[in-house]
Amino acid sequence: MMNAISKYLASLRFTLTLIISLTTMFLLSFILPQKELLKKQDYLQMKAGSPLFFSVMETLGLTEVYTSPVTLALWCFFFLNLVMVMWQRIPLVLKRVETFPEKIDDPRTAASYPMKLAVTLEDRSYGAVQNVLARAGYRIFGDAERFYAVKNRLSPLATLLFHLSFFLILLAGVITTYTKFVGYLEMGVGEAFHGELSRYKGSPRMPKIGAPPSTGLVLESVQPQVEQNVATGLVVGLRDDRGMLHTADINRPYKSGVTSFLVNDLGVAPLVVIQDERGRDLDGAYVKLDVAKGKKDRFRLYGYEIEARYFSDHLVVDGVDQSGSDAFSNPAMRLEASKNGVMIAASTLKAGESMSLDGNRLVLREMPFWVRFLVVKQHGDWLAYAGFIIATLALCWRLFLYRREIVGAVEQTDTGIDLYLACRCEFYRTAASQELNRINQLLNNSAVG
Amino acid sequence: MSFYESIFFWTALTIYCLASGGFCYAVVFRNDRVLGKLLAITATGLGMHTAAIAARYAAQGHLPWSSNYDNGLMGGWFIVLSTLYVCIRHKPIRVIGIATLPAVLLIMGYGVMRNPVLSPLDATLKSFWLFFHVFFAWLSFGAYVLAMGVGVLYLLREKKERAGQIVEFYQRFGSNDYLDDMMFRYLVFGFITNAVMIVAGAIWAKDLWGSYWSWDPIETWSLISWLMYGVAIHLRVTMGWRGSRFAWLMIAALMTVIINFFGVSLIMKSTVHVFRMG
Repeated sequence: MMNAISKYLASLRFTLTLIISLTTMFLLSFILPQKELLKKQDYLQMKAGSPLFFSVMETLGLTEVYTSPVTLALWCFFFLNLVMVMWQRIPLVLKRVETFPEKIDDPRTAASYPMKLAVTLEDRSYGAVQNVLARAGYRIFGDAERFYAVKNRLSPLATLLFHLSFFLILLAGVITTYTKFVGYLEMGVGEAFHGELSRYKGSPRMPKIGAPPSTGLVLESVQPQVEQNVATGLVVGLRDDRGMLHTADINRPYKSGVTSFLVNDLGVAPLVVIQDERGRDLDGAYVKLDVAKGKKDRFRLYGYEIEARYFSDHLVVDGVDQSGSDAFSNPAMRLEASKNGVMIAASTLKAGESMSLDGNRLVLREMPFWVRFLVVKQHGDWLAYAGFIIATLALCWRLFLYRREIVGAVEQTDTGIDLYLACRCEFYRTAASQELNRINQLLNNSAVG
Repeated sequence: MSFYESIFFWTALTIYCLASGGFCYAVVFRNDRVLGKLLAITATGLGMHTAAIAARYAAQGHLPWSSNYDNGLMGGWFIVLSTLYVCIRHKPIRVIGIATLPAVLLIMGYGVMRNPVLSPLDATLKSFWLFFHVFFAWLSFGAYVLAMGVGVLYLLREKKERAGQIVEFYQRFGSNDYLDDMMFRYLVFGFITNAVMIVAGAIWAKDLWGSYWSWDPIETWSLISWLMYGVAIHLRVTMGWRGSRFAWLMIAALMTVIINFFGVSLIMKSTVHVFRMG
């Protein structure tokens, strides 16, 4: 019984079953509502609509397919199967890449070599055949009476290497999962950061092993780039702890060791100051506002509740504020101030302008940007890269440089020297005849030469 | 679309329409004398197609990388180029255009109905890895389409053989073993380039989203496609799937790639992949 189970667990049939099962689970993620892919309120709304369905799905973990117990169990079986298959295959593969005298079959009768060729060498010797085969990339064993030539002898090792890369990628995945720190950090121009956890927005994901990042930096500049209403860049200047200046952009994070600062989002952080009637500052702050793409945001200052809207390319059409484009060519901000629920002032201001406010003045001194960074710290990247590289190289090695084998014999006859060749190639039936034609061609050329 | 791009694009599409009709004629009437002319017509279409891409490049300052239209334009170009390469290199299967050119018409037609607007390259797409990712995606897509095309030829020929008819026209496709090997060769090429595409995408994703893999719908579907072709390789190498079974598998597996390129972004609005809808 145990033997039968272990035999099945180590079978290729089980591998295929697992791959198909995993694929089915992934397909389910397209059919069933997924928590990760839906907004929280949308998910809750759907759940309220069909509570029974969702309770069953949630119990089975199918609303989070990728981390559901079923998927994780399938992955466990997948790697178990991979270990068992590899364990079985290692000795077989090693045996295949070795050369034994018994591999040197008679080319005239060798059944496992489907393609055969017989040619008369005329005045050429076995040495000429050796030269031609060596030039075609073959390594030759044996002698004129019976020889065995092999090209890409070690190719089967690539199968092992390819599957080994899966373990490297798995190991990289495990290491990154346990060491990963993820947090969102919002910084205005001129602001410094020294690794304080309290500065992250919300609760950052803390690593299970290791410490959160301690990288310090100062945001020096932010330069959004827009062409034809398409955001084409967001160039961010950063100064590190040692005073070195760095540039980051979308797709080009600032990296310090294993910590990456990914440029994630952009906002405006105007310096808003409340002054009394004599022009003395009563209160003021840089306020980070999430007002991109016409969104409204609110803040409180000196007892006033202020609602803000931002126009990157300000226009007034029929008395209504608008943005002519997404370019940051004429920035302005619409501010509506209220106190105790009663609106007391509203105006659209550019940097340096002000509006009266219930006996005081609200001054919009400047409108610098703030940037949201996605801060990621994780270990194990090099393992992932090693896995990727090994997987790709192994695939190329195994499937492009497949093994070709030739057995041959040279026989002296009354009419001259006869050469018998038989060839087989991995994966391709017609490749063996093509290979023999090529060898024959090379032999003819060598005769002419 | 720029003015010149529009002229070249529609000319190319018209030529591909004519060539597709010609390939149908060649197969239905078993006339292989027209194949040489059809290849010349297709090559002319490819010239126009290349000019359309060049005009688009000149107008927007970057190669068409991002939108559904871009995918149709560049994906189609790769498929036609691969078709011509196959026709020149492997003469017995030069009738493969019967399967690949209609596919090109479909993806280009679908693309042009979506969003052919000219647009600068989005910041999220300005990455060195994008070139690898997209280039290898097209290579693999082209190879998979060719594998499907050879599969169709195999089935056409085998159908006649099963009926006990030896049709000379179909015999010129080469032996069954030859067609079978060609299917596998294109599958292998597609599988490897697909793997490089996924790896390049994962490395790109690390710098853009902070994670190599985020189970984004398009990421997931590309994994599904790759796994399906991986299963096909296993079925052939370890379980001996060949011939018509394997040909049907190549046709079915292509569906996963088509869904990945064109279908997922239609039904899954939550994808973070940029296949602009206009």
